[in-house]
Amino acid sequence: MLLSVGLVVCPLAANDWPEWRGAGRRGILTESGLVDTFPAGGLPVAWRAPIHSGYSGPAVADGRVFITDARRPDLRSTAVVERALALDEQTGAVLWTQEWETDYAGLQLVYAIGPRATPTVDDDRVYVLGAMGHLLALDVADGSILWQKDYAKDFNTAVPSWGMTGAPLVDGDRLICLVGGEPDAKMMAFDKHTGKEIWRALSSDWEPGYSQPIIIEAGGARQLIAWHPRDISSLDPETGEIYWEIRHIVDMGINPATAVQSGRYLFFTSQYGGARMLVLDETAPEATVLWEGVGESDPEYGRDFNTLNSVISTPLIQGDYLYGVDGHGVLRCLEIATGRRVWETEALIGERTNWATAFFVRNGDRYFINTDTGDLVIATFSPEGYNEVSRTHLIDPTHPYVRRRISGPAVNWSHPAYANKHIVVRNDEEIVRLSLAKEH
Amino acid sequence: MGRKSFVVRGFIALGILLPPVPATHAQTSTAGGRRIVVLSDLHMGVGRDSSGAWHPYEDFRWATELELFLRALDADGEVGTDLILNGDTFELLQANTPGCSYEDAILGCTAPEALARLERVLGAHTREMTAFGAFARAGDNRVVVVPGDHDAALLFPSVGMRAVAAFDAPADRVVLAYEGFWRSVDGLIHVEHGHQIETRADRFEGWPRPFITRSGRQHLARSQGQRTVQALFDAHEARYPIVDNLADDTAGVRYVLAAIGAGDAGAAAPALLRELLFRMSWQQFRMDLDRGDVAPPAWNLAAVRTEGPAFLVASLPDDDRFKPLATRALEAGGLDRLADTLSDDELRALCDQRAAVRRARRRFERILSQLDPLGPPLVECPRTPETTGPRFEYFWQSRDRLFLQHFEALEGGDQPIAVFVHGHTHLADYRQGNFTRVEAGLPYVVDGFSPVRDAVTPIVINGGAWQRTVTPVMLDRVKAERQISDAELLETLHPEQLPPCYSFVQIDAYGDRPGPPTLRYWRQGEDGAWTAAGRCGRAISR
Repeated sequence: MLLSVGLVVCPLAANDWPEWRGAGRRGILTESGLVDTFPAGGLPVAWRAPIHSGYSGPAVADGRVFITDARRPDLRSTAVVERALALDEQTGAVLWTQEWETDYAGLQLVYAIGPRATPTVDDDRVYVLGAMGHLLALDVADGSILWQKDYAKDFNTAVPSWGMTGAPLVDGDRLICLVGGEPDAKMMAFDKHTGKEIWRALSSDWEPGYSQPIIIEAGGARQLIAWHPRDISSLDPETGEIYWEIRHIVDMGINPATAVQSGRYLFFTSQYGGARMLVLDETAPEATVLWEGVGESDPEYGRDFNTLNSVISTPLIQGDYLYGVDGHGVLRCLEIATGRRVWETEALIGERTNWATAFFVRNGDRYFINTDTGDLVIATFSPEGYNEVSRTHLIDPTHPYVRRRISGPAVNWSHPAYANKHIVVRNDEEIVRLSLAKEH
Repeated sequence: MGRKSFVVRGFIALGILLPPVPATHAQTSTAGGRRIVVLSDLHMGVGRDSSGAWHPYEDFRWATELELFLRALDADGEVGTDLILNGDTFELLQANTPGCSYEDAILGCTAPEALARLERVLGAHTREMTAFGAFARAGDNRVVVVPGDHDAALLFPSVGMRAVAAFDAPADRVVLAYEGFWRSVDGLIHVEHGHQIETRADRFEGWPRPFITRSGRQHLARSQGQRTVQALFDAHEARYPIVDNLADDTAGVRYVLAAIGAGDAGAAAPALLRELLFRMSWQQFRMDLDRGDVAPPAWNLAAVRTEGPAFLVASLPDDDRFKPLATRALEAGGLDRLADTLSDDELRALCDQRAAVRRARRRFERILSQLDPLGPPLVECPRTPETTGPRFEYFWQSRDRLFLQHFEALEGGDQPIAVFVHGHTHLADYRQGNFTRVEAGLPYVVDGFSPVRDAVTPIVINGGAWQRTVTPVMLDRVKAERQISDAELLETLHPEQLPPCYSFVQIDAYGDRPGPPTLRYWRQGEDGAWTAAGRCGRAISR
């Protein structure tokens, strides 16, 4: 039974959401027929299902929703049971679960509530990563383990304070992972079918960080962009060989935002280490720094506002402008060419507050935005300003937060999935599928 | 909140043998109802030279700031304040006259010599003493003078009484802590200078009676640190005026040696290496990401010992200014005996420190004050196989053990200490908590740390120095900006250019239990106004 299921190759539907930020990790939703504004009573709920806690976003592929979570059998202990689930996309019924034990001792415990990485679906396999570095390749049909790795045990990984976050990235037959292993195994590629190591690259004398690897095409080459707290590294995804590296120190290793490419521009942002706008060479796999923005740890911080210091939120590039939420909840527009600040507003988050986050997904000329207050917003951006079209409350935030906010004591730092005219969103108690269809 | 009456209570319960002096002892505070403010390490010294310029030895050039601070302190609050001057208030070590120089290097000043030094200090700092006296006389305030290592001579009765008299305040308003520390009457708050903690080179045997009698004369003892480090400062402070303004205070040794281009450390190498390895401040590591939830790793000490003295040199980061000298001493065989003298506890402490440095540098902790966060990480000591992995990343066990041992030696009151305040290193704590306190459902990081696992007390806090200080990281930043050498940097900087911030610890009046101590800075803003703030936030001026 398992074998027969495993041999069936199920191509992803065009409107699936198989990985972090959707196919290609670009945060783009190509579907049409979605709502122009939200109904007064909120989006219609297709289903909701109870789950445990975690930050990982859902992935949706071939009729299944995949999510990971965690529970603590004894709240006085740091021992944890992590879990992967598959749910029926139409009904929310749990199709299977796969559990593994771990221990969150060593993580910053305020935030040690569950896995971080969004599952990655590739044909008949789903790859999940636990907060302590348990990587499992599971059969999408029944959740059975095809192969697995334990980063700490197998590769000597020193798990950083906020856990392992890098969602596995499928590239051909390779599964490319942010491992943080030693020696020189910060990035690793495994055979996606067997788990056999193909290559390893980059020193782990420094922490792995929290950013998601992406693959871009520029300068006549496919480039794996691995942004870690010391450098921005471009690697050949087939061999792990380094094309180029640009020094970019990020204090405390906190770099959860994903790199964003638009044409020849490649942008990186962090709260403490500041921002870098790179220009990709058009003829060779090379890059140069177009401008730098100071981080909060730089002495110049507070005197130079021509930058964007996002902490978790991945910004967007539209035309000649960059838009994003900085670490204090302020939505900013910058000029790509110079970094010059064009405008800023608190209208999206609603207050200046530490580590505020919003997730942007492009849909045509507009954006769906999930705020960490649990709202879903439709908005457009231009150099003239932020235009909020519609807003609805989607889910109650439950993720722990250690500062005071007007919006409440908790946040939602989980990226939702957009698939098949629905949005799938989770908190620490439930996963919910809601309809975005214009007409029902 | 009303002012409470002055209560005198004996301190026999603490088992301290008091010196036979007529002054009232220091443990005279009422508990709770008074505000406690702790200032450390003023180092009021010899003042100006004959030309009217500041003597290079003089570190306390801040009479105006002190006057403003004391006035503001007195005006702020409805309760009386116990102002604790927590050691090294008077600089009685760094002075040329009288020389207090004896053939036996462990002998320091006699009482008459120390008194002569104190008289010069008092004469050079009349404004400061007047301000302190006015504060002591005002309202229901009191001043307690706790001796430190640089003014341990206050423990000579004649010297102590002269210092107290110089405040020109009623006898019950200014007292000297002849016990060598101050503790609140309820036993919950303990304040001491800090040189007696750890195996520090500045500790005195027999404290609070740090005396040696030779030929019928009583001398102040000279500590190991004074013999090895103070001489270096004395020799070079005229040329490099800020060498002892570095925080922590041993950082200046590294800079001086680099600035003078020392080719080797000679016979002093073992002592200097030991001093620098074991006095590296714990404050250079952030700990707020580790709330004590994880277990300590077990280091493979047998494997460590096979490395011999090379292990000690490898425990210095590659960018440590002392490392070239230590390496030469290693190659010359000058460190062979040092390795053999280290106990298992000391090796564990070094391994903890190496791991903490490694962790801090692996994540580019720019908040570090002692180490360039971009520098090379150290290599961890080998662990036992069963303690690999992130659940064994508690590297501060050595520090905790040292403080707990110190507490055990101090205990004896009816209640365990809740707050322990010290100074001495000149480097204040800033959010160095390794635990998070939860109040009203909201957690926040506490200044200081608790050496007791899973407990929020005692809180240990280092108040730094009521001085202008500079950290190595700040200094290196200026050096990089100006593209100058160590020597040029040290020659061109003067104390007046250092950030106008003076740290102190405040404990508000309380009921049954003291709240968390807070680290404050009396600082000058960009607009020139002086206020108390939670951070310094100022840089070196041009």
